[in-house]
Amino acid sequence: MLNTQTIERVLMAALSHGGDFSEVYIEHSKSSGLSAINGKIENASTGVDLGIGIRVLKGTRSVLVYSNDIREDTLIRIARNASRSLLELPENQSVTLQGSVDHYSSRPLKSALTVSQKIKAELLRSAAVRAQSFSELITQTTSSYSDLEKDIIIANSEGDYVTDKRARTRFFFEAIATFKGEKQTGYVAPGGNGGYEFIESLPIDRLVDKAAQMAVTMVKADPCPSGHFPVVLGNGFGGVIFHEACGHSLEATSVGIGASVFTGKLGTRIASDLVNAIDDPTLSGEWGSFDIDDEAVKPQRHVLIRNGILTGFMIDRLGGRRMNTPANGAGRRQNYKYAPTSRMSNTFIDAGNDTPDKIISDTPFGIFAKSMGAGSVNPATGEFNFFVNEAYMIREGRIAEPVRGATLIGKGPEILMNIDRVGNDLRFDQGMCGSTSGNVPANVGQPTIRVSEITVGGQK
Amino acid sequence: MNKDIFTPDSFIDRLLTEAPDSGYIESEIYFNSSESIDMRVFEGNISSYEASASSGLSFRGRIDEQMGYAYTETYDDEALNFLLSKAKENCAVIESDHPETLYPGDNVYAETTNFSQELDDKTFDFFAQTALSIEKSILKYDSRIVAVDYMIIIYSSDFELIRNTLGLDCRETSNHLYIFAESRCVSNGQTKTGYCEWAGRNADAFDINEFARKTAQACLDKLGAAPIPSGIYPVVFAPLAATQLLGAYSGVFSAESVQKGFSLLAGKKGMNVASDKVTLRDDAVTPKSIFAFSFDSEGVACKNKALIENGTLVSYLHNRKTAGIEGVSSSGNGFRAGYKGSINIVPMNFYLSPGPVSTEELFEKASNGLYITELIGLHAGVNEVSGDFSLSCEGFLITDGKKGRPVDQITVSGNYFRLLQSVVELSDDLIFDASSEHGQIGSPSILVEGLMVSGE
Repeated sequence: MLNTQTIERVLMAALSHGGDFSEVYIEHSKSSGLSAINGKIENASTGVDLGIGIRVLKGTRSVLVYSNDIREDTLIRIARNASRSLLELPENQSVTLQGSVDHYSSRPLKSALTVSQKIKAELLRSAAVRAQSFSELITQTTSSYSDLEKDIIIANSEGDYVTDKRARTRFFFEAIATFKGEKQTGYVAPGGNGGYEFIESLPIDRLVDKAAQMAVTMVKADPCPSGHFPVVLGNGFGGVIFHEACGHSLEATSVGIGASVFTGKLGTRIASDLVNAIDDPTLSGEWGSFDIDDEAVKPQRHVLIRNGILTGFMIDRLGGRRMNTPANGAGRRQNYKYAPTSRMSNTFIDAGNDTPDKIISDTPFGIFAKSMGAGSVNPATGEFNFFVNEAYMIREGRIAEPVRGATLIGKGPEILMNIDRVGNDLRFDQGMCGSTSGNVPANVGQPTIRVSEITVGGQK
Repeated sequence: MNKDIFTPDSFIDRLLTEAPDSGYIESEIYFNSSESIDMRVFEGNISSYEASASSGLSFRGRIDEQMGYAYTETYDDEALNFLLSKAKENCAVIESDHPETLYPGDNVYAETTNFSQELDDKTFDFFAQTALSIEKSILKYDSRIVAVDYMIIIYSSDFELIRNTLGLDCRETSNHLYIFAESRCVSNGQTKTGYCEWAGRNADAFDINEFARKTAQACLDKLGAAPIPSGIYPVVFAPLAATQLLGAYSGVFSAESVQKGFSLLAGKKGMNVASDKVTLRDDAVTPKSIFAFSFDSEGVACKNKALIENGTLVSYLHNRKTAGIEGVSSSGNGFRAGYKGSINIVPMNFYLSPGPVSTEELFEKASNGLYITELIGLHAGVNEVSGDFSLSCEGFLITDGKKGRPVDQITVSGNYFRLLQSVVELSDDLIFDASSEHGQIGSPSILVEGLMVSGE
C-alpha cells in the first residue's frame, strides 16, 4: 500500500508542529454481504475500503485526521495540519521504523473472497426453508450473511511497524412467530474469527430451530410481572450485562477521565467473592481475539476481578497517559475513520462450581432470563437496562411458564455484589460492541449465574 | 455553491459508458464525499481533535430483472473493473419479486438550502473557543457540578451526487454544526449526569450561556431522585422522550415493513390506529427542522405528507419499489445510508403535530402521574414487530397537576400501538431532536393514559 520511507515521512510531518507521538493506521479491506427476507435474496453487495488514519498525541491530547486519498503529498499535508492543531512549537523529531513484524489475527483456511455469492445465497435460502417447516406459527424470517477481510499496517514514531491480517464471517437469522395478532421474534447470530470454513462448520439447522423455538415460545407467553425478584441469568449472551454494566466502566476511556464508578477502586472489593472476571484477547481463534492491537501493542489477558477484588483495567495508549500506566494491548478501532481507544475483546465471568440445574432448583421463586437482548449503561452512575429476549418464571425450583417483555434495570456495582451463585457452564456468544472508536467484534460470556435481586420491568 | 468539491467525473463517465458492454441494461452511481471536524474539550484543554475528508462511490446496475450493488473508495482502473464484475455477480443472486428500477428524475424539485458558507468558513479557533467557553460556563454554574464528561463539537459537510444512464443528475451540498455536552454532579453521595444538545447552521445564533445553563440544570434537576412504587400511572412524555419512542417505531410506517408482514399496521389504511388527537407527518420541508429535502437517493422529488390524520392511518412511507407494488407514487423516502448502503425507506422530518394546550396544562390534566424526560436503552427494550416496549427511564412525579420531585431507577412498559390509541392530549411545545444526521424526529409533550411503571 505505502512503502516504509513514505510512512516515516508522514510520521515526521505529523510531529512537525508539536506532538510527542504519531501513528499511522492504513487499512485495505474487502467485504461482502447478502440479506434475505423469507429466504429470498433482497440485497447483495460487495465493497472495497482503503484509507489511512494519522494520529498525533501530545500528553493527553489527541488529534486524528483521516482520508481515503493516500497519495504522499496529500498525506504529508494532512499530517502537518494535524500537528498544527496542537498549537505547539516545533520539536524536530526523526522517525526510523524498525523491521516489519507480521501478525495474523485470523488465519482463514478458506477465504470468503473466494466463495461465490451464489453459495452464500444458498445458505440463506435453506435456513428459511428449515424455519418455515419448524412450525406453522413461523410467518416470516429475515437473514443475513457478511464477511470482511482486511490488511492493516500500523506504524508509529516509536519505530513500531507491524502488519496484520484479519478476517471474519457472520451469519444472522431471525424467525418471527405470529399468534392471535401478536408477533414475537427469536434470533441467532454466530460469528467467527476466520474465513468461510467457520460458516461451513455451523450446525445451521440446529441454530435455525433455536431461533424458531424462541419465537414460538415467546409468542404464546404472558407478559412478565414487574417487581424485584431473584434472577437467574442464562449462560453465553447473559454476559452482556457484565459487558455493559461493568466492562465498559473498566475501560481506560472512562476510568482515565474519572467518569467511571470504578475509578480509584483498584485493590478493593467490587463484587461478591464468587466473581472472577476476565478480558482475554489472546484466546485462540475467538471472535474478539487479535494478535496485535490497533496501536501495535501486544495484547494481554486482563484479569479484571479476582474473587471479587478489582485487579485490572483495559488500557490504551492515551488512557494509559491519563492513568500514568502503560497500555496493555486493549486499543481498538473499527477502521481508519476512528481513533483507537480502550475496548473489550473476549470478556467473561469465569466458571464457578454449581451446575445450572442446582442453581434453578435452589431458587424457590424468580425469573430465569435464558436469553438476553441488548442494553445500555451510564458509566458515571453504573445504571443499566437490558431487555430479555427469552424469559421464564421459576416456581418451586423449577422452570415454569415463559414470560415476555421483561427489562432488567439496576446499578452495575450493586449487581456485582449481589451475585450469589456462579455455574460451571461458561459459554461465549458473539456481538458487535459499539463505542467511541466504532463497532468492534467482541465476545460476551458467562456461566449461568444468579443475582439475589434485580428490578424487573414488565407489563403486568 | 462556491465550495470546491472533488468529484471523480471522468471515472463516473467511463463507468456509465462502459456498463452496457458488461451487460447492464441501466446503471447508476451514487457518490458521497464528506468532511468533518470533531473537537472534544476536557478540563480546559482540547483533548481530542479529528478532521477528515473521505469519499466513496456506489455503483448499481440492472441485468435482466435484478439490480446488483458494489462500492469503492478508490477511482482507478482496478476499481472500475471491480465494480462492474462484483455488481454483476450480485445481480445473479438477487431474486426479489419486485426488482428495483432506475428513475430518470422529476421535472420540478423544491429549492432547498442546507448549506451555510458562513458556517463553512468557521475556523479551528471558533470551535475551540466555543467548546472551551461552554465547559467553563457549565463548571462555574453550580458547585455541585464536578465535571463535564463530554464536551463535543462536530462540524460536518456533505456532498451527494446521483447520476444514471436515464439522464438523472441530482446533487446537493449540506453542512451543519452539532454541539453536545454532558455534565456530572454529586450531592449527598448521589451522582447524576445530564446532557444537552444543539444542531444548527447559524453558529452566531448559538447562545453559550443558555446552553451551559440547560446542560447543568439537566443533571442538577435529577439530584434527590428515587424510584416510585410500581403501578399504573398517567404519563406525560417530554418532547425528547416522545421523539425517542417515535424514532424507535418509525419503521412500522415503512411500506416495506408493511408489505413484508413485519408491521402490525398492515391492512390498516383508512382505519383508526390512534386517538383522534394524533396527527403524524413526514415533511420534506418544515420550518422547525434544520434539514430540508429536495430529492431522495433514487432521484424522486420529496413531498410533505400525513401518515396519520386525526387518528386515521392515511398512508405509508414509500420508495419506488414499494410504491410500485401498492400502485401509488413514491413518497420520496428512498434513502441510502451513504455509499455502502442500498435503498431503504427512511423518514425525513417525521413528527407528531402539536396540540392546543401548554405543557403546564398537560400536567394539570394528568393531575397525579409521571413526567418522563428521558428513555434509556431504546436499541434493546423496544420490539418493533410486536409494539411491546419496556424501558428504563427518568423523570419527575406529577403531583396535584404540577411537576414534582425527580424519579429514577424505574421502567415504563407498554405497547406502542395501544399507546397511540390512549393519547389524551398533545401540547404546543413541538421540538425536533438534534442528534440525527438525516432528517429529524419531532414531537410535542404528550399525555398518555395508564402505563405500567415498575419501581419500588
